[in-house]
Amino acid sequence: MSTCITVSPPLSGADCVPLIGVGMSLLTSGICELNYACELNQQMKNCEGKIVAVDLLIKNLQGEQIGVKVNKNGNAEFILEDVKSVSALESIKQIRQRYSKNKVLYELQQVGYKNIKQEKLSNGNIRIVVEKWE
Amino acid sequence: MGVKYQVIVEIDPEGEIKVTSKGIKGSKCISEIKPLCERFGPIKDVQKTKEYYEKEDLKQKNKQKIK
Repeated sequence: MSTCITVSPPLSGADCVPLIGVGMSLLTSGICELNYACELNQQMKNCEGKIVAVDLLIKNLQGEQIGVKVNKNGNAEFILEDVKSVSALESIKQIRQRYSKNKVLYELQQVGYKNIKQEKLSNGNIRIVVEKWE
Repeated sequence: MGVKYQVIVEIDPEGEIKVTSKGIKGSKCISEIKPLCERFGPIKDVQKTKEYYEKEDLKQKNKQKIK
């Protein structure tokens, strides 16, 4: 193995990156893959009990609501009614992983990689392998 | 026929992405995969492994010179 480069999660709570252009469609694709329901431009109660507008309202398999708000800088933030809910936090992790996967696949296709193989590993990681001839 | 190399991307349950190249020797590995990594998101860390410090394939080097 040669160089190993680590990239921060493209969709993270602390270091948000712009969710512009195809970003939202990559996110909603990932949410659908998890069989979560989602609706655009809705309202929900946040952890302070206030009703807030969200750009994307997600409902996980436990029926919990998770909001995604794109702030004025174009960055995505997650909003929860119960910030201590283990299942809601686990859902956010899964959404992040799916978004990262979709982002990677999209960018690989953009730069011209065609034979893209992917698999889910036993440790929960998703592995994507591409080959190139020079 | 040219040289074949692989780019291996592994995404952990938190969404962090690790990108590794296999089959590219020398500093060329970084120039090949770094632009791709920048498309994925902000780069957190770069680790050079054994293959990085190996000399580039002489055939590849000569090919570049001829061009």
